[in-house]
Amino acid sequence: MIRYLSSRLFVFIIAFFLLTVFTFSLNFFFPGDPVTNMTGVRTFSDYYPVISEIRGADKNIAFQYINYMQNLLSGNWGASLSSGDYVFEHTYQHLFASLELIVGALVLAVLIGVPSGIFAATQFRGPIDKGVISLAMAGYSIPVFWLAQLLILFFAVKLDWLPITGQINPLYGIAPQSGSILIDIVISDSDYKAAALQDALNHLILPVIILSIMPMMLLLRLMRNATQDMLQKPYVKAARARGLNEFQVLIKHAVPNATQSVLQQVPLIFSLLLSNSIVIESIFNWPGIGNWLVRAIFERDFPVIQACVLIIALTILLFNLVVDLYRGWRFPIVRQE
Amino acid sequence: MPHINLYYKDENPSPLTLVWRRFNQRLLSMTALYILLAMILVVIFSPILAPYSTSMQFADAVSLPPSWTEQGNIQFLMGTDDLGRDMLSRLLIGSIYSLGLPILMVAVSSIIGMVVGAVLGIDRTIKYQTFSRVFDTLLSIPSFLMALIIIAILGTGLFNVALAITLSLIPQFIFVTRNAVHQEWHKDYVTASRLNGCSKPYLLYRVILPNITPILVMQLTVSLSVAIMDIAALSFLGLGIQSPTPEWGSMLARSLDEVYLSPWSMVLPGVTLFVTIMSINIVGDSLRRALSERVNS
Repeated sequence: MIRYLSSRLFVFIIAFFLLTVFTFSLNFFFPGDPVTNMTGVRTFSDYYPVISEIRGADKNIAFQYINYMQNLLSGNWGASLSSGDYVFEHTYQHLFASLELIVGALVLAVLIGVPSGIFAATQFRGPIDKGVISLAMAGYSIPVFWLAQLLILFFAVKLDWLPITGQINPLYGIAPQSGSILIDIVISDSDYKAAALQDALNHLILPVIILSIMPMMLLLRLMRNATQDMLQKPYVKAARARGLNEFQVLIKHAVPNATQSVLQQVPLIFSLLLSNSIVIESIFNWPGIGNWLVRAIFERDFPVIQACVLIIALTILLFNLVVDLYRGWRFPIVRQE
Repeated sequence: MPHINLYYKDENPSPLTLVWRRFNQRLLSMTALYILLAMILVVIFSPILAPYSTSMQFADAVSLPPSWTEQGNIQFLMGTDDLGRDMLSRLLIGSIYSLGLPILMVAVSSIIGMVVGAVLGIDRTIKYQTFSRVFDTLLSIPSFLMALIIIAILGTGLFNVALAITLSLIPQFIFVTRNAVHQEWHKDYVTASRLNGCSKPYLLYRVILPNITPILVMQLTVSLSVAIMDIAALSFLGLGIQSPTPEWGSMLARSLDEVYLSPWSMVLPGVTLFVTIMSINIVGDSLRRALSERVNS
C-alpha cells in the first residue's frame, strides 16, 4: 500500500507541476504583457516597474517560473483586470458555490444511477432493462443546455414552481462569506433562516437535477454492464450453489466487484460533470467558477481566467487522486498492477 | 445462375468486417447509421435544399408557427423566427456548422492524433509506466476546458473555435491509438511478424492497424459527439460561432429571449441537435458491443 500510495502521490505531483508550467506559459500566450497577465497590474500603472522588477521580467525563464510558483503558493494570485479585486480572495467563494452544485449533482447521480443500474442488470435483456437502457442513452445524448432550457420553460415558466436564476432571493440579504449559500445561511444572523433556507433550496433544485442527468445515466449504464458481467462469472454461480438468495448474491458478491471497474471510469464522469457545470452556471447565473470563467473570457480578464483554469484542473486532479487511493485501499488487486 | 463455390476457400474476414456483420444484425444501430448518413447528405446538399437564404427576412411573416399548426403557412414549413427568417433554411444551412464542421475537425485531429499515437506506440525507448500515468491524469481535464482556454487566447469566431476544438480533441486520439498499439504489441501474431523481419512501418500498417481499426472507429464516433456538443455549447455561451450564422447552438441561445412567444424556435434546433448526437452515440455504442462480442467469441 505504501508503495502504491507513494507512486500515486508522485504522479499527482508531476501532473501538478505540468499544470503550473502550463498556467505559467499561458501568461505568455495570452495577448498583452506577461507581467500584467500574471498580476493584473497594467503597464501604464506607477506600480508596474516595481512589480516587473520583483517578478524578474528581464531575468531568465526559470527564475520567472520559480517566482511565479512562490507567488502562487503564497496565495498572491494578482488582481482582476476588470474589477481590481484580489483574485485569490474571490476564488474560494466561487469554488464553494460551484462545489455546492457539483456535490449535489454527484450525490443525486450516485443515489439514483447506481441502484437502477444494478436493478437493470438483474432484468438483463428483459423489457425493463431495455427501457432503462434506452432512457439512459437518450439521457446522455441530450445537450445539457437544451435540457436546461426545456426544464426552465416547463417548471419555472409554465408551472411557476421554481425560480429561474440565481442562488437566493436577494431580499433575504444573506452576505456571501463562504460562497456556498447553504453554509452562508446557517452562519448568518438573519431572522428568517428557515425561510431563506427553503428559498435557497428551491433555487438549487433545478440546476442540480439538470447537472446530475448526464453522470446519472452514464453511471447507470456502466453499473448495469459491470454487474451483468459479474453475474456471469463462476464465483457467482458458486455463491448461488451455496444456497444464497438472489439478493445476497447481488449485494455481497456481484456488486462489490462491479464497483471496482465502475470506479475506474468515475474520474471521467466527474470531468464531464465539471465541463457541464460551466454551461449550467452560465445559464442559471450561478456565481460559481464556471460562470466566472466564461465572464472573464468575455472581459479578457487574464488573471481570473488563469485562476479558474488552475482551480478546475486542480479539482479534477485531486478527485482523481482520491478515487485512485480509495480503489487501492479497497481493492488489493488494483495495487498489484 | 446462382453463385457456386467450386473450390474450397478459407474465408478470412478482417476484424472490421467481423464487427460490421454483428453491427448489421441490430435494427436500432442500422437505423441510427442511416439517420446519420442522411444527415451527412443534408450537410452536403443543404445549399440546394434550403428554400430561402438564411438572412432573408420576411416582414409579413415574423414569428410564424410551423406549418402543421393552425396559424402556420406551408410556405414556411417549420415557421419563422423573431426576425422573420425561415427556420427550415436556417436549420439546413446550420447543419454545415453543427455537423459538417465537427466532422472536418474530427478528421484533422484524428489524423494527427493517430499518427503521433502510433509512433509513440511502437517507440520503446521512453520509460512508460510513469509517463502514461501522468498522461492519463492530465487527460481527465475535459476537452471543453481546453477549448475555452484556446478561445481565451485566440478570441472568438468561426475559425478560432474550429481550431480550438480540433486541438483539444488530439490528445484523446494519441492516447487511444498508443494504448491500442501497445496492447497488440505483445501478442503472438505481432511477435511472429517481427521474427519474419518486417519493418516497423509494415508492422504498423499491415499487421497491427487492421486489428485496431474497430477501436479507432469507435473513438471517432466518441470524438464526433464530443465535438458537436462542444461547438454547440461554445456557440450557446456566445464564445463560438457568432449570431447571424445559423449554428444550432447559437440559434438556441437566441431563442432564450423569445421562448415564451415562439417555443418552436427553441424546440426545433434542440431536437435536431439531440437526434444527431443520439444517433452518433448509438452507432458508437453498437460498435462497442459488436467489438466486445467479437473479442469474447
